[in-house]
Amino acid sequence: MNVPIISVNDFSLNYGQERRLHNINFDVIGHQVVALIGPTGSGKSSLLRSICRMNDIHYDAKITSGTIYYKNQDIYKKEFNPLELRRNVGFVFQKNNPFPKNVYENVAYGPSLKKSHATEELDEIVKESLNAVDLWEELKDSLNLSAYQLTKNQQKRLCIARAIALKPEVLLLDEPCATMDTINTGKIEELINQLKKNYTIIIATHNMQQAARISDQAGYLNEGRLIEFNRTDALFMNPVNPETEAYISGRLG
Amino acid sequence: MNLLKTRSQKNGQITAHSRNLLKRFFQFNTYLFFTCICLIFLTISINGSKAIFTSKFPYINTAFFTEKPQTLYVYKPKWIIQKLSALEAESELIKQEDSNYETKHLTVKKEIQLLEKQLLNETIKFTEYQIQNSQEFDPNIYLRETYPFSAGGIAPALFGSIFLILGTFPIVFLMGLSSAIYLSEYSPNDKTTKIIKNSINALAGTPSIIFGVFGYGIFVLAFGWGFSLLAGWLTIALMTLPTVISDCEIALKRIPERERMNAIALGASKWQSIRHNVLPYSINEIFASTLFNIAKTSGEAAPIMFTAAYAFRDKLPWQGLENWHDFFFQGVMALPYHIYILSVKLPINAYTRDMQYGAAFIFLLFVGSLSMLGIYLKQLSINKQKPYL
Repeated sequence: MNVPIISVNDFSLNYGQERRLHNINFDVIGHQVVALIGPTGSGKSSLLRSICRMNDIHYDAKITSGTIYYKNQDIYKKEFNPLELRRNVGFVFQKNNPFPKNVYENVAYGPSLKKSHATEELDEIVKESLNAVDLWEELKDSLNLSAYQLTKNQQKRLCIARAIALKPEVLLLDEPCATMDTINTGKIEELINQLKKNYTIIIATHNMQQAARISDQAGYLNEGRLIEFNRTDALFMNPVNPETEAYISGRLG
Repeated sequence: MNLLKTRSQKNGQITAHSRNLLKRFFQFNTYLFFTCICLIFLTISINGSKAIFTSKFPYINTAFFTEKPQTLYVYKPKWIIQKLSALEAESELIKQEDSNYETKHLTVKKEIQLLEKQLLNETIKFTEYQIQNSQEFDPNIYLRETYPFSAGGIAPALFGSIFLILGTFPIVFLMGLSSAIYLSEYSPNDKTTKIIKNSINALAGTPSIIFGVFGYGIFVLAFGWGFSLLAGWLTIALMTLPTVISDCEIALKRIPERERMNAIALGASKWQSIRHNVLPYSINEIFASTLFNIAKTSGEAAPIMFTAAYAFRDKLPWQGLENWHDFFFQGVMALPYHIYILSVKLPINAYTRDMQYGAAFIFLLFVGSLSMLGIYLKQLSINKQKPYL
């Protein structure tokens, strides 16, 4: 019954001569939050980017073994259309990077790429997406505001709304709270809990309390290796691997 | 302690003094250069405006812009010339015999100046067209002189230059833009790309005469196009492209990488991401750089001298065409080459000066306004990029 929506299979990635990911294996089941934890440079972002094939743009990136399945389709097969994949697997960058356009245009950009929508249809999509990230009430009167004039928290929500506007199945969040204070972090975590109902979420973070709070499953990455992958409570309570235990206790204690 | 203090104070004074001197030196050089430029522009503007502006309505000498270059026929009264040469000989004698005899020398000098003025006033000038309808002057009384290109206007050269620029612009813009997009967005980060980039930078410094000779060999001779607009366009385009490509590449690279990733993460294709998020913010600058560089290279006489420009052609570019495609295969007159001919092949005197400075002035205005437009557009584009920077 539980067909994994994303399945990473013995996946290895090279940047030039340097190996970034070593034989990664894990499955993600629908409507769950998966947290990838690990120190900076451990390969969390590379892994996330590989899942939606954002690494295609990196000239030196090369898959050396294994592959990734999205709904049982090999995404690194030649016939597979990466554009279609990226519409189903949304990626939200660590840095807030709205387009230098207004709020409405930012959200409407994705949906209007593939086919031209009627204005009412597009309005509806924008409203829905902003509603999903709790921005509609704040911004419904100022949709013409430049995205650069929003606060950091609002920009992050806008970036998530932009990805949601495509109605994806999976959302990949790369360190969504990296530069936020505790209050805003709490708000984003709340948001992730809401989004869980409709989307599968994979989140990369180095904040372990956050991972423990919001995720159903968690994986610990170090130096490009997936050391341990398990249910979140199991991983945090009874880590099997001593390395994981050292990392968790070192950070938590 | 005291010793140290005084020494450091002294040192401080010296450095402050020398710093001031250095500043003065840099300032002097800058101002010197600026004054030179202003002098050049002023000379050309003042002398040139004599040919272009008139005191009567419409205050502009329209013939200068609408007529072809004509030969100027000058009839000088012989008796004044004879008197003048006699006086000149006298003053030479005075100089040789008694250099201290200043007062007499001065009076002779004054007399010579008066005579020269009289000569100018009593000289009769005719253009090529006027002379056919006028009576012949007695050759015993008048001395006839002719100056080619010194009457009429510069219309064929002006329009020739305009057509040369109009044709070059789309070639340079399209090729420059597409090469820059390839080099900045699509090219792999390997040796071939590096070689291409470096050679393009090196090409930017190639002397214009080399491009001229190349264009002559390829377009005029090998392709058999003859002296033609098409050969001129391609030669100027080849010469302009290296600078335009590297300028455009810099303009594209200035847009941060995340803007492209941004769109790609939302399912845009590579071309869509470039078209929506890179080009709109740099296209003004690319346009400006094309304009600016074409303004620069269209001022060169060397590349068109061998490929497109005639010294004289009495038809305007749209006159006397049998087929539409004859337009591309006709040679034209062009301002830089015309100015070169005017200043090198003609003596510089009161009868030719107006034309020489007039043509130079118009060309200066022409190229200057193109460059100004380029600079303005570049500023606009930088303002538009501000959210990134």
